[in-house]
Amino acid sequence: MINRRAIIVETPRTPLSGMEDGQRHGQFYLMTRRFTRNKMAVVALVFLVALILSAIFSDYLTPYDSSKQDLSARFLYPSLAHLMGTDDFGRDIFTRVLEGGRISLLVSVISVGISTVLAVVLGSIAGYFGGTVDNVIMRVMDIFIAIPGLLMAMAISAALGTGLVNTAIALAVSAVAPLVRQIRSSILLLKNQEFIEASKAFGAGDARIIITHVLHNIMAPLIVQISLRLGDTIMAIAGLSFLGLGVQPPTPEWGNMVAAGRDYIRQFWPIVTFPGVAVAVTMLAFNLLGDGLRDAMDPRMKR
Amino acid sequence: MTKYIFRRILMLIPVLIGVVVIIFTINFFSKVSPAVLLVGANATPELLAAKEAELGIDRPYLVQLASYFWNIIAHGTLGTSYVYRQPVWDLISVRLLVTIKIGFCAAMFSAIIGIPLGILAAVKQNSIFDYASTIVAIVMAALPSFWVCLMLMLFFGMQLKVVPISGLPNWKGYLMPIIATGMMPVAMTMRMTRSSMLEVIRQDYIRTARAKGLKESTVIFKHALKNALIPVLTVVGMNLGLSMTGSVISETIFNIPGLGLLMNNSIAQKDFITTQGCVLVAAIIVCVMNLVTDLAYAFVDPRIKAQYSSGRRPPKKSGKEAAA
Repeated sequence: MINRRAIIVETPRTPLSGMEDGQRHGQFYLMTRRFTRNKMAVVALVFLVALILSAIFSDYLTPYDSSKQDLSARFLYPSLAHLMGTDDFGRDIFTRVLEGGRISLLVSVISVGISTVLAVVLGSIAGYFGGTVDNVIMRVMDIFIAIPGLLMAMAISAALGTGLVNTAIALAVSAVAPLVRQIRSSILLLKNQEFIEASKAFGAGDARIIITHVLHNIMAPLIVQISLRLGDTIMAIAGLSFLGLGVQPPTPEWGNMVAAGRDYIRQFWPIVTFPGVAVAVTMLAFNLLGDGLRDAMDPRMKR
Repeated sequence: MTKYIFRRILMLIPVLIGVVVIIFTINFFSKVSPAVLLVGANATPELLAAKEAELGIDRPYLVQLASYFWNIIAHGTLGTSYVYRQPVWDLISVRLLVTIKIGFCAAMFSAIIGIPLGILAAVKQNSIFDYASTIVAIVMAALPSFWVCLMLMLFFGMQLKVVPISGLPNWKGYLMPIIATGMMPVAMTMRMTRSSMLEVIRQDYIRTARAKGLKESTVIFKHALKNALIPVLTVVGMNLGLSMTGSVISETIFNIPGLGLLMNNSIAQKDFITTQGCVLVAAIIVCVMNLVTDLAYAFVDPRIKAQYSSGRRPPKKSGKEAAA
């Protein structure tokens, strides 16, 4: 039986921004307030800040060295001395997970940085100028979109060779096309609005209009996308490294830690569990943060 | 309509030519020559050069590219594998069916699980069920597929011993890869169904239907669902394309002889011409699935069909819709 009341009674929507506050407070204040109302997003943000700090200070957080082998302390179960136990070489898993977080974050930030810059340049040229330039850029992007991201990243990192920077480049190239499409379509919506016309009338050049007016207005969806992309990229790095095409051991990375622990999965659960959980929780945090940011920056999109 | 389908198929050709050029270029500029692995690391430079000449990879870029295209057009093959010494298409064709089976079943699995759960969550909005299913969907979308594969293997394969842990000895071998590949699509389908259902439920015609005194189940299943499922169709179509190529990881872990495993092995063996073939076939699958989805749209939504038959340019799928 379907609950009739649940459908008929519309849920009270959260007030959009508090109109009466609009005069007293700036956009940023309202946005922050909407964001902090979303508890899950705040928790996600706190977690990510902690992750970033632990990535920076991982050397000081644990007494162990992530690469130091101690064959007398192999396969220790989690205890106070080793929070997540030790792996097949007697290395502290907790230290390696923290260190792996540093690598994952670093590669992810580089990769998303490259792809965002490329996508903003290509997307705004295509969207703003239109015509032949637009056509050429978008047809090339169609080709890139046709190649599935993971396969593209695998092929590129096979050709470039493995390593941190190459992994970042491989993932960046495979992520550019969808982002270009998105930026272009948000610019198309903006392009014909009055304020753009007005600045043209004032004699502003194309570059100036794009940088100060157009990009400024697509910032909100872009930031949301960046947050979601960071999560996706961390997952993709782990996937590539798991297949042996990303970050190579002995550099600890969540994906290659899982791959290395695969053989011991039956006898010793911590070795595969913790790095996997680390990927999942980080991805989850970036997704929740992205959702929270979207709701905060664009309340109309709230579902 | 036929004209439209024909035009869409024609439009695939330049895209696929572009795919070949890109993937060929990536492989051409590879730092490691495929010949190195074949002759061994200690081989003399003369031996290496001879091997490269034999494989035809010492020729200039354009010559190689042209001969690759010529192979496809004139012989219908995708070149000869460096390692297996067999036509690449023969290698792919025997494996393709396995991957298609897994991908198709994973997409169906995601639709069968995701759509009903999404409808329920929307109908019972803000109930415990709604929150629980949303949390499950968010968590499912965050689990890395390689890890899910390993955990499924550990639990069902090693502890309960109900499914084989490697290869395809019987039909049960398909179960784990299908579930692992379908995990993310389930979450996507569920969230899409929920949000699209919620949008439809608030519309006037639903209120009218209720006001007429129709049964709630009639309102939901006959009136709301039809419109709510249109955007879901896009997601299911995308899932079809994605899961056929997303099975690389599950095929590698469960050692299933499909396109993904072939691709992964070919990369490990620097058998780039096979990699090229695999990527091309995967791109064709994705393009065809996108085309089928667009056509299915026209069948489901008479408004779109009317646009096609009136000869106007069909509206492009907006980026937002595709991303949602």
